[in-house]
Amino acid sequence: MQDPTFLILLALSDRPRHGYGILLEAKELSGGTIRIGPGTLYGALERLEEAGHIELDREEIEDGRPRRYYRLTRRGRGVLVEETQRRDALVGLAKQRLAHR
Amino acid sequence: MSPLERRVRALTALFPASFRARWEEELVLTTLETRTAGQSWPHPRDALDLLVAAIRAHAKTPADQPFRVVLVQGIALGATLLASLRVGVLLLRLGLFLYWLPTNSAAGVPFADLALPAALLVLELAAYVGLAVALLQRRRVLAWAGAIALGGIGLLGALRYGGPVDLRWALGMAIPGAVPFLVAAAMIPARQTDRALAVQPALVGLALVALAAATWRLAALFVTATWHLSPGTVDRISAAGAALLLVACIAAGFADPRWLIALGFAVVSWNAREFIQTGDPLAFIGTAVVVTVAWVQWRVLRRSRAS
Repeated sequence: MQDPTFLILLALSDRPRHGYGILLEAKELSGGTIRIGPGTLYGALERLEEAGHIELDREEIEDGRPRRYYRLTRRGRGVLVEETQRRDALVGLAKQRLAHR
Repeated sequence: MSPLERRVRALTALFPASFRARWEEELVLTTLETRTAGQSWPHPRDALDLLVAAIRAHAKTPADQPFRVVLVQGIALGATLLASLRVGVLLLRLGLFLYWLPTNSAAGVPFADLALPAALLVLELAAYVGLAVALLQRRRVLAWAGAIALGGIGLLGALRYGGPVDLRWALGMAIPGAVPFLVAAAMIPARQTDRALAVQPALVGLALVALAAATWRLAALFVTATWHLSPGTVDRISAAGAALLLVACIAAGFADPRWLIALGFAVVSWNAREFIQTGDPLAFIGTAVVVTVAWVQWRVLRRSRAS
């Protein structure tokens, strides 16, 4: 899983968010180091929705435009947990390696 | 609509139709929300991001879609390839005509003998411009007009021929040129004419003709030291373009069966004249083989994706 996808799932882990909300949260989570573009965001949302990792939570009309909120599904949460463990294991390995030098 | 929104929408129009139907409004809204005060152009970083995402959305493996959709998209690709190849050849022909015009005029060729072929060339080019407009604006009537115009040109060409002409022979001359227009007319109401799906093969076809022409020019320099622009040159260049097309489609077909179907469809149109004129169904064997290979490849892609 690439960083933007990981951050998008992570941004949705506490509550449903809309597209712009996901971008803001992802920026915040990464401390401003990773910036996700709108094209990348919706490409990822399409893939995640098809895979059943996220789903539509609700739709609100704001200034005459539809605003859709997405939430993490149970399967999506499982994938996020798995990916976090994988990344954690990698970081652990890296720390060991660096400590031995 | 603000100028920024108009420009953002020009970028989101590059996404496939299915993607736009589901995501476009949100995508535009979110992109607009990232703007800074007084911004009237999308940030270059966002523009690049949208472009890359659009290309990725198009390259999405065809294994995700039913074969029927893959087939339709392949036919659209093939029709556009044919059209662009034809436009390339027409442009070459027009160039050749203009190149010889002073010589022909000086030699006292009658005006009618010069004007008729030039008028046919310009009319046919205009029909292709109409096709592009029809695809971009989804105007079915333009595509039909083009098909009728090109069929008419083909018939006219057949009737101008001095020898005996029967109906089959004349139809064989008329129909192949109209094929891309007929495909467009059939597909516009179905909204299956993604802009990028039309633009990509059109660029490929034109690039191949340009490449073939340039190669031909280079070869002529080495072989004869003079550049002979004889009437046969255009035919040879278009044959070279078609050969390059064949290779390009087969190469692209390894990754995406739609290119193989496009090739099969182009061959069908190529052979339609022969079939109409001789009634020999053998003309379609190559196409049947290529489309079958595309189907098998689609199955393999689908299976490897499922596992």
